Amino acid sequence: MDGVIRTRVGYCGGTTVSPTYQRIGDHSETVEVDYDPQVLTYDDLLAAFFAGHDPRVRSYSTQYRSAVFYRTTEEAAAAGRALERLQLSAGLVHTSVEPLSQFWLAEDYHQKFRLRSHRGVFAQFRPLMPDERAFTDSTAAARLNGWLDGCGSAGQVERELPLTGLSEAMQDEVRAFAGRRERAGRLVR
Amino acid sequence: MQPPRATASSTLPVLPLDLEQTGSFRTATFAMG
Repeated sequence: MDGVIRTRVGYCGGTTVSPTYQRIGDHSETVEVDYDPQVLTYDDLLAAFFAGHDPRVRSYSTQYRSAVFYRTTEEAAAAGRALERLQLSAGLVHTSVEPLSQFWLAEDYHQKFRLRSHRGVFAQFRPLMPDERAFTDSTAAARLNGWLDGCGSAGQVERELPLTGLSEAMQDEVRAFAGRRERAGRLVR
Repeated sequence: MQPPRATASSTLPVLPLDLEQTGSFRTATFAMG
């Protein structure tokens, strides 16, 4: 989405200290989104969140549940309103709205999973980053990860793909994936 | 307490929304099932 600066996956919502994928304890798998409020609103993100999964499906595990973790009372109110609207149109929704306590960053191999899974693009892009943390925090990595997962508008891809440092040939590889969701009429932007 | 963030480096590919250009940002956190 335009306005997203970076994404990182991790664990939160529970009490276990220093969770890992193997020892997640009572946490849930989560995504943390850094965004530019001049471009994107919290309501926009809530809409994408609810469109990106089916919150009507009840999860029977804490690890894979639907939840909004708010930082401010404004975010809590916005999430509550979005939830109410969805319940009016879609019926029972199993999304929890709760305060964020602490976000624990997931292991490196979970970050930018789609990008890591494309050997050619990953092999060319990863050496551009000085270390794993820079890779995880990179806007370019977040964009590539989303494009390779079929996200992104044609305009965004044409505007930003040439700025990722990839060769022309590898940019073409990314173009083959980018925008598939929009073309299929699913999650856009 | 949140873990410290990496500092942007001039060696990174530069995108219009890189943190060093944007200046400020907010963070949202979700679990998507």
